[in-house]
Amino acid sequence: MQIKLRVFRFDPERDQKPRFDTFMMDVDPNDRVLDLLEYVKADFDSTLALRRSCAHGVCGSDAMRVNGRNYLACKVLVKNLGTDQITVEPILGLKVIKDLIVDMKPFFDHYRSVLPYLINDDPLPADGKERLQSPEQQLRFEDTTKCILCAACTTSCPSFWSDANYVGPAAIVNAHRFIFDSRDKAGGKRLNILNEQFGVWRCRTAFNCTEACPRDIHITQAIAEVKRAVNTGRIE
Amino acid sequence: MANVHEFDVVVVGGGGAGLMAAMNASKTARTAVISKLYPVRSHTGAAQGGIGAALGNIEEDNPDWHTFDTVKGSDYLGDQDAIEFMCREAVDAVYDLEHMGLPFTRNPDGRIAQRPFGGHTNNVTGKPVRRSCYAADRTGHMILQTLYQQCIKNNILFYDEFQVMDVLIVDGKAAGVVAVELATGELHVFHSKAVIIATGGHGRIWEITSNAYAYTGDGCAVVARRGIPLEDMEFFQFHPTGIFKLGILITEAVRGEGGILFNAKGERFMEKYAPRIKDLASRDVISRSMYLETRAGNDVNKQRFFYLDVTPEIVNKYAEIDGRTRPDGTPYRVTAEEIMSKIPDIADFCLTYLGVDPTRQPIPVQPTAHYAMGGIPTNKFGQVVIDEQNTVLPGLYAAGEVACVSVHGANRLGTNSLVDLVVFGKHSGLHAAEYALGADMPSLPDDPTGFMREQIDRLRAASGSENVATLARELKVEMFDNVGVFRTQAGLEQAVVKVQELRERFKQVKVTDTGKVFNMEMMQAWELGNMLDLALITAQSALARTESRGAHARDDYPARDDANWLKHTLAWMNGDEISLGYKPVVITQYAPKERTY
Amino acid sequence: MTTTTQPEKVVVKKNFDQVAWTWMRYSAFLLIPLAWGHIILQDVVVGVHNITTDYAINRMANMGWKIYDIALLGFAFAHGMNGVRQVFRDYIHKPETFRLVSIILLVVWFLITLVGAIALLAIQPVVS
Repeated sequence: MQIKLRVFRFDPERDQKPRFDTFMMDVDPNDRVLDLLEYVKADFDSTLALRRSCAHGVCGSDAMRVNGRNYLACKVLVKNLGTDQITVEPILGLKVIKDLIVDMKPFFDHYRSVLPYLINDDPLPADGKERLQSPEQQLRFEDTTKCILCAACTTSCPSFWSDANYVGPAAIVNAHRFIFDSRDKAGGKRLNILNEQFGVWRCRTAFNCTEACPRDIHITQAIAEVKRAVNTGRIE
Repeated sequence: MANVHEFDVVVVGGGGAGLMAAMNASKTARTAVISKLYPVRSHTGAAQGGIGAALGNIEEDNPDWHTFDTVKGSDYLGDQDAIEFMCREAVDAVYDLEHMGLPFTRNPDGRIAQRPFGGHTNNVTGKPVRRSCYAADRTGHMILQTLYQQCIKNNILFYDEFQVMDVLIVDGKAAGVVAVELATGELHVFHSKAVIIATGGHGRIWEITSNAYAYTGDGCAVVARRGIPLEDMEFFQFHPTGIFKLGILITEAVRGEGGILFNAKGERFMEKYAPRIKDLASRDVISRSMYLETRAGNDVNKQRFFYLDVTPEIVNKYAEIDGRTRPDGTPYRVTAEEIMSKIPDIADFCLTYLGVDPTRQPIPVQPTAHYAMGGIPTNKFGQVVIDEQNTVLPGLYAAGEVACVSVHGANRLGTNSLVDLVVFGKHSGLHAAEYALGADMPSLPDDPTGFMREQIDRLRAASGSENVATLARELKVEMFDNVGVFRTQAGLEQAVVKVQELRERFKQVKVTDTGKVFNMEMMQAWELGNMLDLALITAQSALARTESRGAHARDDYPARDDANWLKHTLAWMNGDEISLGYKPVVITQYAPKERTY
Repeated sequence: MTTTTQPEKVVVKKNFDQVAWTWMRYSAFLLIPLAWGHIILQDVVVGVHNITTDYAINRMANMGWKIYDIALLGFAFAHGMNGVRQVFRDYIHKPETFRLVSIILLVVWFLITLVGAIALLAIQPVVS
């Protein structure tokens, strides 16, 4: 099918302002938007700069805005968009460096700030084997282990757009993953870190994050569970 | 003038092996990780099925069986001392991962859950054994995330989005690497005593692949250009179940959960080729079986694909026929919910890319280029060895898919790659740190960034009469057709000629983007150069090996020939010439036997 | 293997935003019966057609109702002012400016409530 593809372009070494390049192309409805961008590089303009790697929705490199909403470019097919007019732009809230590449440092800084690693200084099991965890305990936090740090959620959040000091849904999700992991002992620490104005209280339950997440993580719910844990002082 | 940084140990690549190496090296040595991607984007995250270790949590198992299965799986080309080492260390490696927080799926008794996987057997009964430790169907993702988290906890220093383009070797010793900082185009020299290469594989040289765009074999190409040989490059695994046309991986675990392969006639064709363990035979056996079925005209719609059926009706029907039981002895019967809970990510791929619900319809699958058994030759400590006598090049290490220890020989068993990463990542890190602490800082060469700049300048100054996309397409199609699942003399010869032609034409590729900031066009052109070099080495190595073994299958030499070919290939690249040498396989316990499943 | 886990108890230091957030939810819940109670009382129990100026003034002359309405004013208006503060949060980025605006909102709340309280207290019964 014929489509019209508009792609956001910005060359920091040349352009004062961003521009849109338009391409008319013949594509298969099953093509991924990433495939379209690769066609652009192959057949029209090889200088188009974007991040991508696995091309099937697990590495998180290619989070972008397609027709105004956040997706992983490799997970959204042309036929999913229901139109032949496709606009691709970089994600919001993070500074655009070039074309579709944004500065991910603030995002990763927020992630690091919530102590996103297992903290347990208790002695290991005497036999050196695994710490026990029941299937129910494992299921408790399984949803938030799925996060690939693609930033689709955080950059779809209106609170984050208005103030990038907000730690963002992704950081809270990764904190949740450890707070509710029965093997972790620093839940209280993380709850205290998130219990501040740029932490969990910036969330207005807009639900953009849950809609944007390519891994179908129930993000708003996870944030709400963290809020509840902060208020009740109980992790359950 | 380039920026110069000094370290004891520098790790190139931020995937499972690189992060394990960094974590272990950094305990005693000043370490940095340099990666062309953010580490969490590494291809380790795509691994699905599990990490194999003989924990014996559900049924009896032990590392000796794991060793034998791996040796047999390698079609007896694996170095048995390294395999024994890896399978023994695997048990602790899995426990270490759990202690670091990896959220394994659990048994009711709270222990790490394990499931059957292709080629892993109880050596006494010959039946599949539950050896694969897993976290749903996203084990690789969890390993990558957990290791990255631990690196953050231990304050590992990262240079993210730096492309290493050359390795420095002075007086026969490693002296560091040089890289381009993608965000600024600036050149950096990383002056160090030890270098650990962990850059992964090169599946992107084939048309249909499960591999990420990043998998262009940079580490192999960089060392090959410095006169270091690459080992066993002809052995590249074609995973039998990639999504038709896309190549996206459908994990072997689907068959572990009871999925069955069917041809156009509705036959469970693996019964013919692997009568004992059928659909759980190892990958090269199945890919070859698919090729033979295609030749017999049994492929679906004559489009060279087959069906993988994991609907409850089929799973239960064949579980009954096979007499498959659960660990407690009850018959193995599943519901759609159970299947969805075991393979949620696969179901998501099928739905997203095919519009197929795997619990209701069969999945169209075809062989897809998946894993490099070959690579940079190392011993079991990760030290790079550079000739037939296994002479060590001090200070240079390799680990993970880029390395060839060789633990996978001619074919890799599923779940062994994740073990490989963790075990050899750890040991190369420890060994490199120990070496670095006992060694003096080598001197830098006179013009450390010279070769790197030369490559960049060549790409800027060329005529522009050729273009990256065209050359890449021609390369991939040629490789998939003639250096793919099944190979012939004529096909391989044609491939060598074609790749040489493409390498010649590559000299006319000109990068039009003259910018410095995120010049992805430059990087991708350079990556194509890497792919062309590795393709030539692969095709030449394959042409020379006149036997079929593991993943290297030749129509004209269909049998394994231990008398002449029980040896590893070494390939040196000298400009446009590839010269080949051979070194013996280390055999300790298991003399090569006929390999049947 | 234990399948039921005891909830882990942790100590979380109270934070102003936490208190404000929680308070907004509780106050919203309370406002519903308070406002509805007011409506039902006036429009149903008393009857819309029976509300005259005299009736209103005489009702407000009652100390009980004065206190009820002052409380409702202060409470509802605080809920509203905190909401306005949250809206401003998205638009004001400098922390010092935001603190200043928050204080101003607090003062406004206090003054309006005070004026309202004085007005309510001053209402005298109608002498007929």
